[in-house]
Amino acid sequence: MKSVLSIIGLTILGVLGGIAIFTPAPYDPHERVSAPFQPPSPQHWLGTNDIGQDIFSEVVHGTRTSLLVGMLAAFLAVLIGVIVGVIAGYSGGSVDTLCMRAVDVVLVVPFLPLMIVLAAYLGPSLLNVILVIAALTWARPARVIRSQVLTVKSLLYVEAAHAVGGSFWHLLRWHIIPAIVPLAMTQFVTVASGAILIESSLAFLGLGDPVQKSWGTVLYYAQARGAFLTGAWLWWVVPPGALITLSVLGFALVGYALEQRTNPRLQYN
Amino acid sequence: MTVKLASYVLVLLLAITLNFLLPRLMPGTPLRFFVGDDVALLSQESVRELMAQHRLDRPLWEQYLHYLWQLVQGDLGYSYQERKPVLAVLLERLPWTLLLTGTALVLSTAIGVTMGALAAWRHGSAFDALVLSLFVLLDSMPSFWVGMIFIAVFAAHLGWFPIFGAQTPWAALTGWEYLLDILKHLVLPVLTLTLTTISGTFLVTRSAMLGVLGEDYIRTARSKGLSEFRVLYRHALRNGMLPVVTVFMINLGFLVSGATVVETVFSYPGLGRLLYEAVLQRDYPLMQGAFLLITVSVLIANLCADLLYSRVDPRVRV
Amino acid sequence: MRAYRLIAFVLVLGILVFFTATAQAPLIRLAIPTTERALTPYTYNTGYPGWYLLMLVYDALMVTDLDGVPRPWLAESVQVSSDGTVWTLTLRPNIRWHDGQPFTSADVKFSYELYQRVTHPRFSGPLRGVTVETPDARTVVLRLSAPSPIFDLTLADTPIVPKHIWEKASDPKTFENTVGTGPYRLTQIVPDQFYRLEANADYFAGKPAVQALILPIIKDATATFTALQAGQIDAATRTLTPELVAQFQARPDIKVLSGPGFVSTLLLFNNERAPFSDPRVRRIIAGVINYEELVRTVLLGFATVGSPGFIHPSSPWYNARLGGYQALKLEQANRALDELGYKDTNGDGVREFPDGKPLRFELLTRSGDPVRIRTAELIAQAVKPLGIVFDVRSLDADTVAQRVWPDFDACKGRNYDLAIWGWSAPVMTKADVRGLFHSDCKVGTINVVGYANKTLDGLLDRQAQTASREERKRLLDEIQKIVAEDLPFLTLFYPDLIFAVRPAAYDGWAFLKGEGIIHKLSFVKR
Repeated sequence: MKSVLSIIGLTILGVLGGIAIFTPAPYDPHERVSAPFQPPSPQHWLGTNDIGQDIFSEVVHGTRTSLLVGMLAAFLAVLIGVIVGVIAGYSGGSVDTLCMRAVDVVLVVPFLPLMIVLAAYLGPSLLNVILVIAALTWARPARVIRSQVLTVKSLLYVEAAHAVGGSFWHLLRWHIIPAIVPLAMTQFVTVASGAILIESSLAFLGLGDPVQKSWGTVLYYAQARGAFLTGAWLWWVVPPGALITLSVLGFALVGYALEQRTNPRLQYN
Repeated sequence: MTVKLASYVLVLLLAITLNFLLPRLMPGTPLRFFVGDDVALLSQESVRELMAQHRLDRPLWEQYLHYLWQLVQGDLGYSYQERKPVLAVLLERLPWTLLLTGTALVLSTAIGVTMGALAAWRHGSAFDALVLSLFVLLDSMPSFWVGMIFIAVFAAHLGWFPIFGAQTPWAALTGWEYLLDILKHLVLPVLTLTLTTISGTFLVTRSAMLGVLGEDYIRTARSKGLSEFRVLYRHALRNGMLPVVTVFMINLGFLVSGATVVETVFSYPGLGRLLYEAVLQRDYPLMQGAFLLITVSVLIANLCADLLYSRVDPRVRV
Repeated sequence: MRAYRLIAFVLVLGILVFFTATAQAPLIRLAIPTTERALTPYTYNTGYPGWYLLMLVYDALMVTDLDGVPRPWLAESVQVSSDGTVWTLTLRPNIRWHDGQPFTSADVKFSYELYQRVTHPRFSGPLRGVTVETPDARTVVLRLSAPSPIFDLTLADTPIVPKHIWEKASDPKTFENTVGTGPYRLTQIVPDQFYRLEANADYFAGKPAVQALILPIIKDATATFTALQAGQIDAATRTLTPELVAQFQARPDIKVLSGPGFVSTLLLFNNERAPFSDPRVRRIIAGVINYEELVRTVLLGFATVGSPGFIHPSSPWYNARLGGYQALKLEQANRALDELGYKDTNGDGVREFPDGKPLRFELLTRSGDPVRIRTAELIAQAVKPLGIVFDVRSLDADTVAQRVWPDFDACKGRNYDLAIWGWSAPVMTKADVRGLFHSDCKVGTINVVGYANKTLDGLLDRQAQTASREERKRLLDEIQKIVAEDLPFLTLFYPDLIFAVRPAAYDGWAFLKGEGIIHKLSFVKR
């Protein structure tokens, strides 16, 4: 069961990754190739958008943007999380307290509202969206990593490796990193799936960068230009949303499988 | 406990400061929003007068002190956009948000807990796999997209439900008809919200139950020949509830804020949408008020969850 | 026998239908996009539709007819002295406020002095330096400090409030009483939900054509038009987007009304920054944009192509001899740029300034407005073959405003290269060219491009102070000619105003040129 889920997840991510890398789009998504608002046809499988760009090509190129945003944001968030977690866990004392209070703050602050406020402040650009997502999602990885570091530390005390005179870097290289890498990977996958959802929500609310082609911006234009009223939602709204769902699902399944493997407490099921 | 409390106060103070600073760091002046489109017709004297009227010409620290002083007095200021006290605006919207998110929370908890318990009970069965995949799939869907599709299918094309708002504004209905009207407006947004939030409760219940079901006393209970149902609900669920309650409490905190996107899709007049509108309109006091209300409710819910945790499970010291 | 009965029945039914159709419509639901607060002169929220809704409850001394020309309304006659500074108005007799009190010249004096005393963003400015005298209850004499050819627009713009109620208001800015003289009285406000207006049966210009107006607030455009399709509302103040026109026209139960709109969409050049400080460069850019194609693609043809002199061809002030933009062939344009010294010296396909800096500029446009973003994208494509790069930057509306027009004060300068911008209808209605083009930022309050032309300044001052409409027209013709030559900014197009209504609910809408169907004359006899 576990392996089935992770295989499905990996397959989804593999296919989407392939689309993102090779972008098998028939047209340049920025090129106006036909009359605006055309329904699907053999030339344009998903019709054309409000200025006559090919929606299929937009969605294909959107894969790249959306996955990139998700993965970069997740990478950044986990990086911050690892740094904070390791420092807090290793140092202990007031540094630990300080870091954990910061984590508390970020965890408790209402997420989407702050995101909206921040996105509006920073202005719509992909980089800002990535930064905002990372700035608000690093806390959970930090907490997880810290407790793992604490576990490693207590184990080491038992082994008295500390007394042998292992330096910080030695500890980090040989004990901490091996212990946290699997956890960090799980966190990365979890944050990435969340980040893709958040990016699309921000884009939908008009707080993303409408000049970039992402799934969220395709949906933004569909909504802004009345796709619901004309029946165009079938080919303009459903496909990008389905792809968002698929990619989030892919990450979630892989994350679930990884978690089963790395979290000892969950081993029994 | 005092340490924990102190940290909550710290969070609150930080939130208040952030709350004050963020809107002011934003580009643009809110002038357009208390003048309207006619700002193009404004003379410079009027611009200055209006800025002064709203204290926007003072140094930042002075505005901050003024803001704190007002807060202490329980005064959240005056909304530019609505020209009403912020508190009044918030209180107008609050019931709608509570109705929407409250209903969704109750539904998603009820369904999530039941399904979670059943799935754990039938662990490894086809039912477990089916329900698990279904909820993970639902969790992966963007809520606005689900809402958009519901609108397109059930409201625009089939005409079963209204498209926007919380009630038919002009109908002036009373009694049962009024309730029915509100209910009809509630169905699609609640459904969207429930479906997209259900998986959290479900997963937590399922894994908690899996843990409990492995424990000795359950095996004992089973071996005593108690009915499966009785074992599940009287013994296992009760003991496996703790994490579920925690998740519920934390969700409770997000009641106030949790539905920005869904409220926007359905034009539902709740707090989440209010905050979004306030941001777009640079209504600083309204933004601050909404954000503060949301933060405080989240903090209180977290505090309650902590307290509850320590009471239910004496091993946990807060 | 039965056949007779049937015929008689059909006849009676027909007569009934006929009468109900011509008599007053009972109720229409007209969706508005946002709150208008208490809908008093100091609390209404938006210029459009807020002011127009306000004027259903209140009246002004004059009203603009469907061509946008003011004619007497609360006043029955308006006389102007030959030097244009003394305006004498005789008020209509027997007009009553909604509460039954008589309307007199004292109310006019009180209202105008109220706007002078308590700053109002819209009504105060035009009344500066005006003194009000009331020789008797039906006569108002207004003395202006300088002649103004468009003071009649002010008279049509300024709502009169009842003295006997407002003199008790401690703070007019928050006072919430809506007793007016207008065709409708405001009977119910449910915040964030709807307004209810009931016809004023004793209205001096005749009983309004619709008994009750319900104004539900629907913030979302999609929700608005879905509701209209589903029959949940009968009309909307929101204009229909072009992509929906065909579908709405195809429906038998919905009627689409459209006409010219006075809102403009512009491409702003920062006239203080090279190379856009050079009118020759501006003319080259103007020459390679295909305006018809722009309108066809972005608005599916539902717009009037911009006039290089800014004034809309449907405006009474338009200079009909102006013609359109001077189109340039690509080779001509490229040659002209070469001659000006902007050459692609490093062969990367982008021209450089003589000092080597590439001709690469940010084109600002506000997010949340897909039509403008698309317009910016098409313009960037149009100049690309010239070796000029416009990077489209979509920013939050207020960020754009802050860079183009910091704090809404032209004296605070500007920080942009290019921007897609627009002015609302009143700028066109008043033909506020002095604000748009005057080089003194205290006078040219909306000269956000930093344009300066001393010859033009003189003409701008003269047109603002002439007493005669004909003289102003002549001066405006000349001004438009100079502007079309200098092109401080490009007027790209004026989107049409398109409305969708349910004729079964009410079909008496009247299109006010440039402003649409939401106004007093759609509901009272004209």
